[in-house]
Amino acid sequence: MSYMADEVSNVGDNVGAVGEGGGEGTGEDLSETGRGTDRMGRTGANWSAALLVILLIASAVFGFAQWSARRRLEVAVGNQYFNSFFDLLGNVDNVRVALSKSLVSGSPRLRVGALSDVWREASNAQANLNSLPVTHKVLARTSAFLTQVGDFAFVTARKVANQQMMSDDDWDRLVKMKEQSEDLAQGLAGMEAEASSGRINWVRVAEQAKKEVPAKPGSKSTPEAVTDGFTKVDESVQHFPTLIYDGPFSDHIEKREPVGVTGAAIDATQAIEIARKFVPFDASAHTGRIQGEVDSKMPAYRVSLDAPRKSGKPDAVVDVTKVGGHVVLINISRDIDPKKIDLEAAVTRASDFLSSVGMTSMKPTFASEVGDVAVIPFVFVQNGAYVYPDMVKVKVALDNGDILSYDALGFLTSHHTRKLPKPSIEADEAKELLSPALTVSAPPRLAVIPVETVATPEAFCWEFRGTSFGEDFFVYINAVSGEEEKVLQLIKTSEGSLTM
Amino acid sequence: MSSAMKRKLMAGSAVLIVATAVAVALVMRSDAQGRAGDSNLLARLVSAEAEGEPYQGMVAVAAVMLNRVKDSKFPNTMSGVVFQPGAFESVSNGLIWQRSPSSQAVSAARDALNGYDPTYGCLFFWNPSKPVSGWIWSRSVAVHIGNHVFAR
Repeated sequence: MSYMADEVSNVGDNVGAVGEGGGEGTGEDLSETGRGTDRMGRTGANWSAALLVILLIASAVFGFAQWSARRRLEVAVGNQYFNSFFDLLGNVDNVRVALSKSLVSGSPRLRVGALSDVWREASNAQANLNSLPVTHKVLARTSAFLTQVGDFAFVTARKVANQQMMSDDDWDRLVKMKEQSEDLAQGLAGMEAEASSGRINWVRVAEQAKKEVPAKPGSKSTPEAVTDGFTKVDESVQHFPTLIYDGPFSDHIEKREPVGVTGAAIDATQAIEIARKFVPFDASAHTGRIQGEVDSKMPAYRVSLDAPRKSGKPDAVVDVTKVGGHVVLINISRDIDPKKIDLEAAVTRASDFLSSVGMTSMKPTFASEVGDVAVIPFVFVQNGAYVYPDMVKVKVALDNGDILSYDALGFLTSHHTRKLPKPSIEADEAKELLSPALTVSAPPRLAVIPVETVATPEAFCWEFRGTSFGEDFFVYINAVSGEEEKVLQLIKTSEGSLTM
Repeated sequence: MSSAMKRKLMAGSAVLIVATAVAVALVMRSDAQGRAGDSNLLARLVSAEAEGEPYQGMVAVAAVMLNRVKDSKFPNTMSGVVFQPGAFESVSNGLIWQRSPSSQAVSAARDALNGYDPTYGCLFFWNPSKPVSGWIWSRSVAVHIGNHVFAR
């Protein structure tokens, strides 16, 4: 109560004071009005100030929510990377241990076990390494090393399981790989301290990798330190010699020279003429030009055949080797209408095309329907044996049976006249070696199949086609040694397929 | 069957369990390459990375993916190659999920899965009119298709 009274008296004092100072009535009136607007202005200012404060708080809250959401995401992403990194450390350590064990194990049983561990751990390590946000070039060699360790362990395990002796070379390689994996484990352990302290900001590492800034050696900032760490690890891998062994990722596969490309060198004009004659339609009116050159193990001219306007004919791209003028690839692009012809008819069309271009002794083995096209691989047949590496693939449109593409890369890479031995075991004997779970469904035939060995990249086999638990298989028994070389499962597409 | 063959068989059965394990692993391994999921993922990547390129350029991009799967320096699975951090801009910025693949991209992916490779084993491709790291040019360029350069 007393407070309110004070207020009132204060206001009264003020009014009194103004009244005294103004002197005149009008002055007093004016000052009253002035005071009125002033009061209103102050309220307006209060309102906008309040609004501003609210906005400020709202945006601060919004900003904080965004920041913490982003932060949560960053942490989640970072944790994924940490997961990969720590898994990688574990994997590499296990690779090292399993390699040592494989050397010490005396029995095939334990050795195969240890080698299988190497295979599994190395393959996981490779997957984890490649999911880290570090530029590929920094990881390439380490990645290759891990793949090849796993691959080599797998091939060796198979050898041991097969009761074959490990060669001296195999021993040397295992020892070397063990040493190399120790180096790798050590290099990674050097980065472990940084990771364990949680100081690695993977999001920044990823941003850094995107900018492709080269790492400064010995740098302290985290993204650089991580890249630097991996660069060092990768460099230690650099000393590893090129690994040559039997396996799908071995360097010897990349190094194979094509043996089917023979003959005299041709020039660009000749290439265009060869292409014009080879394509499965009359291309005499097409404009031929060299679209480019392909620099590979099989150097080629890329010839473009452009159809004259309104001729209704398709364009084609044809690769012709510079040596011998062999056609490697043809691609004819056009829109395809709904299916009108069946697979058998497509196979006939493809066979006719092959005979028309002088590819004789080629037999279709399989045909599958994908979309509105059929893909038909043909293999070279020598003395009744199906030579699978010498393969040509033909794609046929199922609307009218036109040839859409031709691919002789496999054929030209491996085709030569082989010296096929006489089978030392007969088909009946080979059949005895099949799994009891396989019901043979077609007469056996001789085949040459690609295998991954360095010395003999091909094996001469009896091919058995059969079914097991409702699924189709091809089983290959070596016609000389009687060993089971390969089991292939025929995966049927949802659309049609045909086995021949 | 000769007696030598029989003896070999007897000896073989001693390590049959081990051999079976390896054989199963072998079958699983060859099965891991190129199936339905791969074809869809591949088509998406082709659509995002090579839209507007000539058909052969689309097949080429798909073939690079498959060559990477087969190469020891890259992940050994299709999804590993596609989602390798920083490998493809369209994966990093999410473009790969923003449109469903064109029918051309689907057919290009299928062609590549059938083994058609107009790049002859290339592992890299880039568009020279866009900024790229200088390092990439140190690869040996094999062929130009459309707007892309393909290299080993």
